[in-house]
Amino acid sequence: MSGTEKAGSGTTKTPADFLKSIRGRPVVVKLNSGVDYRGILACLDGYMNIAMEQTEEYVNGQLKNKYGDAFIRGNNVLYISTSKRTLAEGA
Amino acid sequence: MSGRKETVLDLAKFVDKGVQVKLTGGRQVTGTLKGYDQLLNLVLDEAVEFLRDPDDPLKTTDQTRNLGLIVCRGTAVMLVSPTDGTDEIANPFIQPDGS
Repeated sequence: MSGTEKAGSGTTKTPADFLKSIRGRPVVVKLNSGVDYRGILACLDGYMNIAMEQTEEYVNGQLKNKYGDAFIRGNNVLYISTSKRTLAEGA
Repeated sequence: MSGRKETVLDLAKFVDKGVQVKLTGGRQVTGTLKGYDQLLNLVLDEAVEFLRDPDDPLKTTDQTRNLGLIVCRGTAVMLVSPTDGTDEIANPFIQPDGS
């Protein structure tokens, strides 16, 4: 991976800044398989490996499993979303 | 970001504890974590695979297959979770009125 990490000068937000800002917040993680994981983002790294707490697994919108802790390998991640702007908790 | 070799996946605390692993393609395995590396290759002992519903690869059945000591290749690992602290919920796919 490229070692260049921009200093966060100015108001420009890079993806890295976004990823840092969502630490500790509730997120939705969608995997390539289409499964959603909702929980508290504990930690993530440059590969987009993710550690989550209070994780719930949704398949086709249905809650299927709960994990106290979950670690997701980054290559599976399609996107990470915070629900800050979408107040509706629905799908 | 801290040292290159550090990872968010602090699996050291799960060594010799039960973990469940979801693999790409839908397979699911539980076992005792015996070892791991940075690529997330995992060594599981007393591993049990939960066989999948033939009609829906995302659903697992209660049928299992004992695998013993296995290596899970890191590239196939999708999710790792400790079995302790995992809540099993009512099966959402069981139709209340019967299919």
